[in-house]
Amino acid sequence: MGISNPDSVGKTLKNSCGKTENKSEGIQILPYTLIVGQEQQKLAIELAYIAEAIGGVLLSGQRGTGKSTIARAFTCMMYGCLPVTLPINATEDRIVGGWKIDELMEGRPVKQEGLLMKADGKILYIDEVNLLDDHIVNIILDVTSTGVLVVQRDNRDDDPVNIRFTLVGTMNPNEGSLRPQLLDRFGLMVNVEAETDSDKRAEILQTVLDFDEAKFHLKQGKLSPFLEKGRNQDRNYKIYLDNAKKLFNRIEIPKQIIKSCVVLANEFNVEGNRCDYILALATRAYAAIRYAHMNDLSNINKLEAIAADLEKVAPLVIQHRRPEFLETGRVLWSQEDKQKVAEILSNG
Amino acid sequence: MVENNVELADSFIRAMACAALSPGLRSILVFDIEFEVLQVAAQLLKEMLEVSENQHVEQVNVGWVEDEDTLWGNFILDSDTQKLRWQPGLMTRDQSNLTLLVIPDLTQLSLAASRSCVMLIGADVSHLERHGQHEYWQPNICWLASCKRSESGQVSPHLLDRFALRLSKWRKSPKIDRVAKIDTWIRNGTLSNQSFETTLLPEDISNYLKNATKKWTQITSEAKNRISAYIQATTEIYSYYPRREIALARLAVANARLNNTRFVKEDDVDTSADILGLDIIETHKLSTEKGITQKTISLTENLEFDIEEDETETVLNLGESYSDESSDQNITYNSDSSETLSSISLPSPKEPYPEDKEPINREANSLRLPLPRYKPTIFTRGSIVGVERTKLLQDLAWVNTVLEAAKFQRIRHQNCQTENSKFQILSTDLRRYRRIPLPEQMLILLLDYTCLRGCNWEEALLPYLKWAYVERASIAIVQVGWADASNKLQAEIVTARSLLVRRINAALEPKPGKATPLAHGLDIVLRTLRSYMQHGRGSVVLSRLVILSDGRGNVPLDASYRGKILRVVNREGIEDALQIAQKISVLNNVETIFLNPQPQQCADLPLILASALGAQKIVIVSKREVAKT
Repeated sequence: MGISNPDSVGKTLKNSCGKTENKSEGIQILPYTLIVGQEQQKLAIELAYIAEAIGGVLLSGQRGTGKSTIARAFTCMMYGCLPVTLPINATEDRIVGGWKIDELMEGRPVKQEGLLMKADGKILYIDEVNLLDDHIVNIILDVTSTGVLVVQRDNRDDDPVNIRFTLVGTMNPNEGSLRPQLLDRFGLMVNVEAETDSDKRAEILQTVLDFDEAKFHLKQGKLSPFLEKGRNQDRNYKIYLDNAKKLFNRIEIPKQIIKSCVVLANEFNVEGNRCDYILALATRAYAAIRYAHMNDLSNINKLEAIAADLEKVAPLVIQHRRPEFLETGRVLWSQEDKQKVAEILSNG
Repeated sequence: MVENNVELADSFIRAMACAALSPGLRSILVFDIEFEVLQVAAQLLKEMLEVSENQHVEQVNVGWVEDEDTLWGNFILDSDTQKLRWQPGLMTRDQSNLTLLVIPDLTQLSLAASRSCVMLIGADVSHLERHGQHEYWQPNICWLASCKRSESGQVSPHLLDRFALRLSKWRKSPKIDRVAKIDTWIRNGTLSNQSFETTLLPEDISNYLKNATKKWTQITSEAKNRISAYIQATTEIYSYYPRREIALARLAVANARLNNTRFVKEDDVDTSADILGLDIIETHKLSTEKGITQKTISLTENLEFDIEEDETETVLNLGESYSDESSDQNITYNSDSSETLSSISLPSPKEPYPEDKEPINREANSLRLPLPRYKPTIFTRGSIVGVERTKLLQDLAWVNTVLEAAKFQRIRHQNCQTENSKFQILSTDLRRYRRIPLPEQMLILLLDYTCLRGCNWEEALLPYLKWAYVERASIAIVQVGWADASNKLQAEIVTARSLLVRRINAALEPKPGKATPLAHGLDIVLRTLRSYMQHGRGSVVLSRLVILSDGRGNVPLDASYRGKILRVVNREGIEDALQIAQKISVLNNVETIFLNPQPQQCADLPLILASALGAQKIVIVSKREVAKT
């Protein structure tokens, strides 16, 4: 008994990141800079790119609000390929690694790296993360908490490998919430809501139709100025974000800001010990974005995070760690919470 | 075999033609359609897709029992080569060609299939990461599903939201000639439903589609405003979801393309709204006859199709695409003079988004894989949702186990270095079925609604409901004397797989009726217990029966079955109840608890009934006493 060459699944695109395949054939992703609105989603994913230690971003919210589109478009822009994606029905061998089955059947044991290894240094994207099998969640938790992947299965006994990736998950909270342990691995969370502003909605509608038209023209072998424009903008935006990432380590956080991070974590009774640390990281990343906006930094002696930076990122870090959220699964960030943050920072 | 009255003026046909043109609309949900008519619709849609995509389209039907390997693929033994090869699943087959995937009943879809639909419908990219396979591709599937509108509460709204096009029953569906069909079945010796010998798609629609595929249409700002107006109006009835707005816009664009117009106009939006079943908003001048004239250039007229040469706008017959009711109105109430009317919403019998209104009849988090909360004694029951590793020898998935072992045979034989080695299966190869656990315990609650006033019954029930939740027990509520009962002389039963189903919550609402068919209620209890615990492959091994009643049954069992009272009733209702109670008392593995509401009158009746049941008696404290303490 042996194995013939496995049928490929139709017109597929083989693996992407870092390899030479034609990544754009057949699959069209809306360029990131053409996505209208959803500024909080964009901010969160950009912060997690600039400060990798944030660990991850959870985009949770209403149906059809562009969560998956943003996650894919961002990765395409920054890494030039689709994100390493862990589908909810992935089998364990594909997640942690196994054997190349066609080779194995011929008597040649060749290791096949899993998705966790593939995502090292990049983004690991999980669509519908709340629908993941519990067993898979345990594997991810184990790797994200230790930063080490140990493969000991199917007669494989590999040396531990250090890996680090940014976990990006999307979910609809109506289909269930996440275990607190997994929730904690997401440094930032965005409670995504549909745009209510009618002008913004009209703009979104026009973008969707323009994208449909672009795909229609591409199918007919014509060029799409709409997509070309978007890709050019993406190239410039990538340079800008990479600059911000370079600036990240130059940003100093005054002790007063760090103290405010600790006070905020205490005042909001957050679960776990990571909140204040993530607050500091996100504040620093936000400051890096702010400085990257400036054309000339030569006149500035010291690049420093300020209280306003912390104020901007606070809801993204705090909301999913509050006891109310862990109990009810409902994200509440009210005007009062906003005022509370402002007061703590002004007193600090 | 099918009487062909297919025309583009039929809004159902027009909607499918739009879906064939616009990939963003290729997820269609049809409400209240018969299976046979759905098959005709699928055949027509298939032919339309073949015209618009200029390629062969394969139709695949998805049944309710489909596990993940069937859907996504697995290794199979090739009978020709005697080698294992990867066999793509229903949802991953031949992506180079478009597949029409038909789901005859969305409410019956398996958990694995529902999860797969959520992953695939409307997705830009699909990923396969299973059994050593690593692939990703752009899904190339057109989805056609159906379900009863009244049952949409059983389906996750997360899944329903993926269906862009919502269509109501096909009113002008082609009539199927059963005689011809049966004749074909007999001649072919098979009951194939796909035995359409002729093409259903008329040539004129095919021509319209061919021409529409060549040209894009721009949307005007007036049309966009019109879409906004519809969304604004519908959010007063339904919730706002961005995909609904986008679907309306895409449908309007597709309609304009079918009409061979250069721009999407307000009329296209109106037509699209009507197709979706949204109430038509009348905001502009209703110049009736003029309006109709503008709309009634018939499809049957000979129109030139050469778009490249003829850029003039052609408006097709949209008048008939409105519902019969609205066209009747146009004819009957035409006035001679034009009249400016303010915004009016015409009532629509269609409900495009019933999930916003229908009562929720599914478990919470219905798309999640079930969590095993206790160690089941029955391994081999319950729907299969996949396979998993095991160290036990119960309920082995033999094919998967053998396939797993097959991968390692060469290596194992090399290690053994013996000739003619046998096929080796090691413990690490063992796979067993992963199943949705069947409830092994059951809570039956007989609730006499006529005796609840003044007693603290909610608190008394709480421990049993908690028990049912913790044990994941199935639940049945026998409603005695419920105001909303279809016949006041009869009791009714509501059953659910677990306490988390919302209709259980509704059944616990205290709505007292005027009669107390207690004997009938107990008879239902008796039959339910026998059915679940003694018949066939029933999985229930322990039942907890909780009865809350004052024992004052006033409807004889005979009257309940007849549905009417023929003579004056004395104690028959009570006597019948006691007789049945004694039958219940002899059932094994039934733990019976009687909650006594302590009625002011006939206070001994509950005690007599509880004794007949052999039940543990628990007194319910009255609300007045609770208030005192």
